[in-house]
Amino acid sequence: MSASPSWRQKAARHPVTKAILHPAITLVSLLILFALIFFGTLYQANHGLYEAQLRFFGYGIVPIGGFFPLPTASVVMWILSVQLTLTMALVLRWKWSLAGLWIVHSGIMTLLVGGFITQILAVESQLTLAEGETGNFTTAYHEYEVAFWESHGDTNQVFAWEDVNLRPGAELEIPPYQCRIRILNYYQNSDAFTTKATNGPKFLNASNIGMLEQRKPEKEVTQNAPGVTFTLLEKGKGDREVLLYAQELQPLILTLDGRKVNVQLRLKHYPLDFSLKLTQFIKTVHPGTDIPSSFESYADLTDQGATRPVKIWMNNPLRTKGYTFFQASYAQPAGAAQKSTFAVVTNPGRVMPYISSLVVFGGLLMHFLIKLVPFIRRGAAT
Amino acid sequence: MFGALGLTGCEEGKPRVYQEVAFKPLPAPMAGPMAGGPLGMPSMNTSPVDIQVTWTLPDTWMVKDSANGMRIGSFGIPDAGLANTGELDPNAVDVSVVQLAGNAGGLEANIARWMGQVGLKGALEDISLIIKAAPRFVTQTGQHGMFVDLTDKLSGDMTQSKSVFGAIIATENYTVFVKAMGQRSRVVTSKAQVKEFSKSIRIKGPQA
Repeated sequence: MSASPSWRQKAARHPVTKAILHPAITLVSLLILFALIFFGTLYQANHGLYEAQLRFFGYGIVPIGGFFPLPTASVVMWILSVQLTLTMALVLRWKWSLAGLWIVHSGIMTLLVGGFITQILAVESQLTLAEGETGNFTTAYHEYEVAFWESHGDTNQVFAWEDVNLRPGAELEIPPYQCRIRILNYYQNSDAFTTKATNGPKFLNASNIGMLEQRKPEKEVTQNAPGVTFTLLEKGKGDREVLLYAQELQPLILTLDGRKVNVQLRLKHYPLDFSLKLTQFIKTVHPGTDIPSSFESYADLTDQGATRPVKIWMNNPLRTKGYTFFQASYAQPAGAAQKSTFAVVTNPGRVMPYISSLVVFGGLLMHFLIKLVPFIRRGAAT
Repeated sequence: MFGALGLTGCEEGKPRVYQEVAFKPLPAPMAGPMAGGPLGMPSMNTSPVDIQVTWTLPDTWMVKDSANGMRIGSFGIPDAGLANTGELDPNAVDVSVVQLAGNAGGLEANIARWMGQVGLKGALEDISLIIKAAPRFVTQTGQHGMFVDLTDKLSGDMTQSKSVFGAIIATENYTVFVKAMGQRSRVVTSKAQVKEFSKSIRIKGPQA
């Protein structure tokens, strides 16, 4: 921000800068954001939240109504960010009387930066516990991993490749076991059959599955049943074909590098460095109806040997060590323990909107006062 | 808006290495009568066990040649007018018999999956109500099962045309699913046959 005024003035007058900073672009961008939120909400009703997020709020072009193309929200946010940055760098003058406007623009920039931090770094996962059950990790909603692990006492040492890497032909190293895998196929959604395909390889599998068939992905991505087939390449040993299906309950146990190793295609795990034990779940209904009025989960949180009771209920999440546990859902299976599901979020950008709001408020207040004082003086002089 | 933008980032090309405490599930309310509860927690068996599943096929059903493996039976229920005429019914209700190890992910997950296949969205509480309301039955060989009826569920989306009526049977180490899926009106009229078929199932073997 220490550029000389003449340089800034020249750059600000440049036709390209003027074109980029044209108010019409800002206005159209804001209208597009409005349209994206409106049509994205409608789209979500039929296609699910994830598809709507990806289509309307990711990067690219989305055809509204199937034919009217609009840039997606992330693209628009970048356009607005570039405009804001150029305005602050080139246009907004360094004057005490404009200090309030500088603060307002900084606040809006904080909001945009917070949005990008959230987009890149926020992790959403879930934890479902039955009463009496203890959880040490959360699971992703729809992202899978091929996990290799050995148990050492109560601890599993896990080595995992995420589903984004499971492309046909990809060779992935598994260094802990001196081997690698070559992906044959990855199915985002699939059906499993125990007979093997004609002329297909004989797969190693824990549930007698012999073949997978691609299915059309479900509207709700969480309802997909992925599957993967790969060749296990181990030095000095013959190649082995492996099939893993996400709906299998038990891992395949393989001998790798002379050790018994569990292998499973499973929802991505996020280990916690503390544990949560659900002690009681209480659902209250409106009198005379089955309509729930509140859900409350009582749990014991154990961290580094110390245990404390916590309560998580609607709109009152548990915040601890950067995690936020929201009461999300529940199940009351007859004849079995009640279950409570928590949506678990880690978001380093969580506080940015609050900071931004305060900064914008402070900036507007300062600008108002800066303008108010001369106004009052002028009034007194006349 | 920023919340909506919060897609989870992923690190492509790098493996994850981490430690986790081995998860200890609660003792499962396993086997025997399915008193409306889940089929139990994941089986700890790591070696496949065998069971033999047989049934009595209704006269009018046609056997499809896609029956294989996990789909241990595959049938079509044709329109009554086309039954046994040799003519194919393109809208025949598809019936599959599937056998999976353990509790196959649990009742809720499987019912949610069936609902998803016909465009129904089900919150956990909806699924719990379905399980609670599901009629119970006993197979010819004494295994306990339940009927899952989604034909009275509508998504509210006018494009929904399909529905499912099925049965879930629990054995000690396996779960057997009978699923009839097709045009909703056709599934409704086929329910009685699917019920009889499901009750006729015989599951034998050392782990049955």
